[in-house]
Parts: sequence; structure tokens; C-alpha cells
Amino acid sequence: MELEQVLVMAVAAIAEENGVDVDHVVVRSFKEVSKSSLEQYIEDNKIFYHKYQLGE
Amino acid sequence: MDQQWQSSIVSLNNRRETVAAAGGEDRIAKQHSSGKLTARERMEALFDDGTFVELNDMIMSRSTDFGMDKKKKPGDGVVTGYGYIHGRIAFASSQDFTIGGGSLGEAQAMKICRAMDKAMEMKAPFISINDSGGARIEEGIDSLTGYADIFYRNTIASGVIPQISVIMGPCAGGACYSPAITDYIFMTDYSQMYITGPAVVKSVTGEVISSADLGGAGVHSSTSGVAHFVYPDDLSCLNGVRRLLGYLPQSNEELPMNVPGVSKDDSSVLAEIVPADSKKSYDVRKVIDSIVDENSFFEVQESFARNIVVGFARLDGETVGIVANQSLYMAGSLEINSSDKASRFIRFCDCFNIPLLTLVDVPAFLPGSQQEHGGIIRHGAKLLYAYSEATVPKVSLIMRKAYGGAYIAMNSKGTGADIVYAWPIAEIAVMGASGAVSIIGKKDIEKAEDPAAKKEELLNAYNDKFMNPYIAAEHGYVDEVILPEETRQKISAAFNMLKTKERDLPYKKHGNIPL
Repeated sequence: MELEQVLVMAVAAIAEENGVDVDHVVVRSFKEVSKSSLEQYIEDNKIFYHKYQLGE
Repeated sequence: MDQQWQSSIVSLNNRRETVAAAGGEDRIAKQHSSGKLTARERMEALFDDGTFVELNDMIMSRSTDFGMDKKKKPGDGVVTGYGYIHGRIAFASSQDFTIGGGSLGEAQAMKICRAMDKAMEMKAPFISINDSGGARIEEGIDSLTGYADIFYRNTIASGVIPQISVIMGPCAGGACYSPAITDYIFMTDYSQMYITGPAVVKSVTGEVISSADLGGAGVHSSTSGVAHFVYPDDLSCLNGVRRLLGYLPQSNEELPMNVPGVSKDDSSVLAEIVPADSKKSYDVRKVIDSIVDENSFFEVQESFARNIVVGFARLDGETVGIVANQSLYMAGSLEINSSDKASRFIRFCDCFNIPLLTLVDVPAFLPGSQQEHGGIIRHGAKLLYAYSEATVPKVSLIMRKAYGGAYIAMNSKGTGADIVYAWPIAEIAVMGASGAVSIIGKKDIEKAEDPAAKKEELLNAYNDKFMNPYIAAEHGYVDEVILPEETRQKISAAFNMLKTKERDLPYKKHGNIPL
């Protein structure tokens, strides 16, 4: 997915969550968050993993 | 931002990159190719997402002997810090096998000890992930002292905060004794624990044995009883740790969390699960599952001393510790290993304010020279001691057999049970009818014209007189004889009533349990 598309989706999500018009959201800066080493390992090795949560 | 700031930030980022690189790409790849996660990946899997905070990441060995000045790396082969598990704080250390094989030197030990000290100050659980070749030989006596510092803290923290050891690689020599002092040991299928490895065993005794056969997870979970939980890989193992912690309080000053689940009552099926014929066996885990909240039973040491089942469960969302005779193995009799297994579990529950439910169906202490010579008197005494000493709420249900000394040892009224229930098929007696009649009716049977008929007559008389729960109820050793379908409701009501129980023991430094 193109970076621009990701940004558009992020802006739309922020606008919806805050109940404001998309035109009123201004992106001043952004930082790409890369996958953690563990997430990458799980993806590379096609491991089915779900972190145990209380009550399961 | 001026130039000095910029260069300082660049310097810090470079140092951070060095720390994050651990032992280097090749060693990380090797760790991954052997099916193991890195130390930091393990922390990420252990803690709630995004909550892990690392401490002392740049600590370095001070040693320069034997080329250590060229080999040493920031972090010194262990990652330590804190984070949250189910929203509650916990501390952990995770040895980094990619740096010097995770070997323990002075700085690594100091780093682990600092995290342990913080766990004690914060009254929070401590989890130790082990993946290490052992003591760092280049650092000599400082390495050994480092182990001693850890063992000392393990001992002082015992009974104050839950301590969990996770073995995810080698754990050899003196290093085994930290896990051994902690409350629970988790192992992965490819981990090993031994005091002396196969090479030393061969050189000293001539015995040829593989690592797995000497100290693998299979051996320690079924034969030695050293390991409490075994999982196939790192991720499932760390999920197991997360599950266990969900049953435990943060420290001995707290109660476990209430975790609302599905409170079901399957007591109506209990009479189908447990045969009235006391010679027939059944799986007591089905009884447990029918009483406790849905899917809440978490068995401890399931492959060791299978004649007794212990584990955690929830009743109306509250944690309870369960001890139950398992008639599928040795008819549920007590022997050396089951006595040790149950005693340690009972004492853990008592340390951490976890009420105890005991399900009794026990024919005897296992007879024989093997047991006597192995010290069944000493080991069985632990069970009596543990139940008698425990001040947490204690409820028993006598399902079928409760004979002799084994009856007394399984949380009987005399050893401090708060509430004892019995089903109408319960047999509470000094021994079974056949054994009893052969002793007390021996002369009558020998003198009788028809010994077989006389024996039958005496058996019937004994059965009528003793093989029921009513004499025990009349004498006050059983609080109530209940129907199977009333079981969950009665047990639940008893624990609710006991919530505010207070029972103090007389002052002492500590008791002298027969070890």
C-alpha cells in the first residue's frame, strides 16, 4: 500500500474517532512504526500466535 | 538544537543500536534457526503489548582477563526490566544466549539482582528466563558470587512474591539452583537442566547419556518432578506463564484477582463420573471440571506423581487451589512423590492466600519396602505438616474412600479443615473391609465351621458399621453429607463464608517441616 493511501486512511480514522470533518485534521508530522523483531519472526515463520489474555 | 545536542543524540542512538544488535545478526539467526526467540523477543511475548521497559541496558562487565576486554558487550548477556501482565506490574530477566552464550558474570548477576530487588520493593512477581551456558569462567569467583547473590534473593523473596523460572535453553551446574528455589519452573521441549552435563557424567561414571535423557523437559516433568510445566516452544511457554500469573496475587499481602468467567454447575453429572463401586477408577479431572468455572482448571505437574492431581481453578471467579486423589493411577494411593507434590502446592497456596479445595478418594499410603526405605514416613509427614500449617480457607469433599493415615493426611477435620463434606457413598474408616476383617475377624473365621460364610458375615457387619460417612458425621468429623448435585453450591457457599477467615499461628522464626 502506498504511503499516501495509508496517511489518508489514518486521517479518516482520526477524524471519525474525534467526530470532526476530515478537512479539519492537519498532519504536521508522522513516523513509520516498523514491525517489532518478534512480529517479524512470527510473520516470517508463518506462526499462528495469539497472546494469552486473562479469562481465556 | 545546537551541534553539541545533535552529536550527543547521535552518540546515544549509536549506543542504543549497539545494545539492540545484541550478539549480532549471525547469532540471532542461529538462535532463530534453533527455534528459539531472542531475549528481547521473549520479553515482548511475556508482557502485555508495548509495556516492557528495559533497565540497565548498557551495563558492561568490568573484567579484562582472558580477552574479556574484547569480547564484552553492553547489557552483559541479560535483558532486565519491568512491564505489565494482565495490567499488573511484573519484573523479569531474560538471559541473552547471543552474547557470550548468556554466561553469568559479575555485571549480569548485579543486573538481575537489581531487578529482583525492585520486584520485592514493588511487591510484584519476578520471572527469570534462563538460556545460559552457566558461569562465565573468565570472571572466576565473581561469577560464582553472582549466583550466590541471586540464590540469596530467591530465598528471601520466597513466600513474599511469586517467582517463576522459565528454562528456554541450557541451564547447567549451579545455575539450576535459582530455578529450584523459585515457585514454578517452566521448560520448553528443547531446554535442559542438570547439575553436571553428559560429558562430565561420562568422564566420572562412565555412563553414556544424551542431554535430553539426562535433563530434558520430559525427564524433569515426569521423573524428577523438577519442572512444573512443559511447552513445545517459547511462545506457548510464555503464554503459559501469563496464564499462571492470572491465578496469583501480586504478593503475599494481596488476594488473587476475581476473574469473572462462566460459572457453571455440572454437579448433576458427578454421580455418573464417579462409580459407587470403590474398586472402579475414574478421572478425577472430570470431577474438577464439573465443579469449577468453565475451562478454568490449570493443572500443575500433570505428568509427575499422577496419583495426585493439583492445580488452580476458579469458583465464581475466585482462585482456588485444588488437591485431588487420582484413582486412575495407583488407585489414588499416596506415596513419596505425590506427598512431595501436594505438600509443595499446598504451601504455595498458603503463602499466597489461595484457598484450598481437597477432593478425597484415597485407599492408603502405598505399602512396600521401596516406599519405606525411600522415606515415606518423612515424605508423608510433609503432607500432614503442610495441611496443618496452612491457614487459608480449607474445604474437603470426601467422595469415596478415605482410609487410615491417608484419610488423616488429606485435609481431615483434625488437621484443620474448615469444612468437610462427604457424599453418601463415602467410606471413612481405618481400612477397607477386606483388610479389616482379615485382622479383627481372623480367629472367628479360623474357628468357624464355615469360614467363608463367617468371613462374609463379618464383611457385611463391617460394611454396615463403618463403610459409610455417617459415623464420621455423627462424631463431627464430617460437617455435612451432601448429594452429588449439591456439590458446587455447597463448596461455593463454604468458600464464601470463609472469605474473612483469620487464623494466626504462634510466633516462630519458621517451622521445621520434615524435608
